Amino acid sequence: MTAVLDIDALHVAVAGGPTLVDGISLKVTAGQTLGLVGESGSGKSMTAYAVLGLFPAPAIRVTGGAIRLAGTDLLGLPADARRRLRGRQIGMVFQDPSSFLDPLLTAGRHIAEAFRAHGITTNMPSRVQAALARVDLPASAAARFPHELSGGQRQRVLIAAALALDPAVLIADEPTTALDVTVQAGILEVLRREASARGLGVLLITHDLGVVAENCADVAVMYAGRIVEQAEVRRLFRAPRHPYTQGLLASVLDPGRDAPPFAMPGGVPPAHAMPTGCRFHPRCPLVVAQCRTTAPPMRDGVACWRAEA
Amino acid sequence: MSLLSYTLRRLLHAIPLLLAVAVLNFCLIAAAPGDPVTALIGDFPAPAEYVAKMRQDYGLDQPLPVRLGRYLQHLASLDLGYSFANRMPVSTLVAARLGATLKLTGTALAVAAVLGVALGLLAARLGGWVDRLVRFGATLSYAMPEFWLGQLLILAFAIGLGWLPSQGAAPLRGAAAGWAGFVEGLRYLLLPASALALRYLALIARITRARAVEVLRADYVLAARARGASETRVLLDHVLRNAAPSVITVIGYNAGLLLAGSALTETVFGWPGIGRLLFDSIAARDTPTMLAILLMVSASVVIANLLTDVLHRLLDRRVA
Repeated sequence: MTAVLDIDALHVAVAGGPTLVDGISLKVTAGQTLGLVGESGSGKSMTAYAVLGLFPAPAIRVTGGAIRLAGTDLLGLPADARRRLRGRQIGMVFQDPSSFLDPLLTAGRHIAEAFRAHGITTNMPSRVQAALARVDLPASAAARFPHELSGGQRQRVLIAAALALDPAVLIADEPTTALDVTVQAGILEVLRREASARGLGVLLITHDLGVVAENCADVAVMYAGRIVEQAEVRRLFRAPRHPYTQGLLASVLDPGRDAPPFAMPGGVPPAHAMPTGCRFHPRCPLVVAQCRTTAPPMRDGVACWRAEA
Repeated sequence: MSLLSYTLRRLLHAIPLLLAVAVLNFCLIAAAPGDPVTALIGDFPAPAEYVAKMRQDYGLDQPLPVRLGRYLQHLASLDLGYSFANRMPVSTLVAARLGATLKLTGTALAVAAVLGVALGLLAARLGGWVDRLVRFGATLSYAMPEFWLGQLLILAFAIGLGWLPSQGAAPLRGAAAGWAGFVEGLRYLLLPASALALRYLALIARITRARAVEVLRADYVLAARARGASETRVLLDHVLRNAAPSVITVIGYNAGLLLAGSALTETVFGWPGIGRLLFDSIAARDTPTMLAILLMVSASVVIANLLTDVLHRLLDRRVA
């Protein structure tokens, strides 16, 4: 199947400063959910913003590579053409639904905004209601202000607005991280259902391997701006090959296991002080001389000198 | 709590506040040297018995508490007293001047609000040199007192260039009828309204800019852009709306600034309004007129603050 979203050797950097995303490649096909996993600061969200063509700070920009949406390279498009793709072809759901909803606008106005942004102004109440129904919210939610909704309901409103125009791709950036555990499952269920019903390609960004296990067919593991391992989900969980992936999986709390979860030493290096060679080498238990000097290429879904084939 | 009961409660709170203002004003003016009788007589060598008779006629020989009591009693029946200097009831005097002041302050407020918000949004949106220019201009303007700016405007546009009249609200021979009269009125209004509006405009531009910069960085603006909203829609639907409560608060809470400025502006431009009347009544030791105007100004500020809070609540439902 051809990729609906094809990210090819994408580079993102701060102008005159450090590189945040260093040549990552990902493919999302229609109806498929690809998980993108990594610690905070690994460049996951920057990848998402690059696809949207929006960065939270004006100094951050794409410095290389291509982002193709159904074959068209987005990076070559003029600003207004990219704006018209946002919401219409690419939907985005954010981490914290309370700060990503305008506190002075009702839920319905947020959804209506998506339609209006693309020139659709007729039958607004019924459009808004239909969008709310898809995320299992009653029609009465349209008149509610964000502070009158629960965290889970707010996230449903954001999802409804993101899916209002039936985009081809949905980027979900940590959609359940800010929510109570009890409502996470409901939100993920909505995303799963809508993805399969509409043949939506989903890029699910998360640091939660449990979320990946339940929602994704494939997963890419990101570390310090690069993809270190990419595989089918079951394979990755059964036999992780990159030492970072192994560490991530070992750090998950598993009640069935006697040993306490493994706490990986150290942290993601800051973007302005990236180590040479493999960026994971200062934290890697398997490190050898070669790792310190030369970055390992991606081979058979893993970028590691020590990984067995 | 509903907005209506909130408003009623605030109105009830305003009554003791205004009463305190009335008492304080009365005592302060009583403590000031001079009284209407000395002002009326001037330097004329009047016999002591005549002066004493005048004081008795006007009730000025009574002790302070008695005079205060009588003043409050009259106030309670909405009687603002009698102007010695103008020989007519204060209410008649004030009513005749109110229109001119409302015209001047209303115009200044409208100009300051519209231009201030527009400049603030522009500065926040464009950044760079536009932003720096607006901020510099606003600081400079805010530092300029109205009476000084007013005199500069007169020097430049009335005396120097001769484009606009410098005194009054209409020509002495009387205003023209219809459209011509309206345009003529605007020519008289332009300089005093500009002088009065500028500091207020600077204040509004600054707060609008500061709030707009904040909102433009908010997550919900990023989310709106992610839905495909254009920059114009972002500015109108999110930035303006979220900046509005702060802007309205600054406009409302500084209504006193506008009224104080109006007294100075009216004096400089010979504008026949309340402010000019206050200035004249101080010069004439016309206590009842002074008291009435001071109380009206206080009441206006209280009402402006109340309106501000009610509007704030209407715009932002989270405010309890």
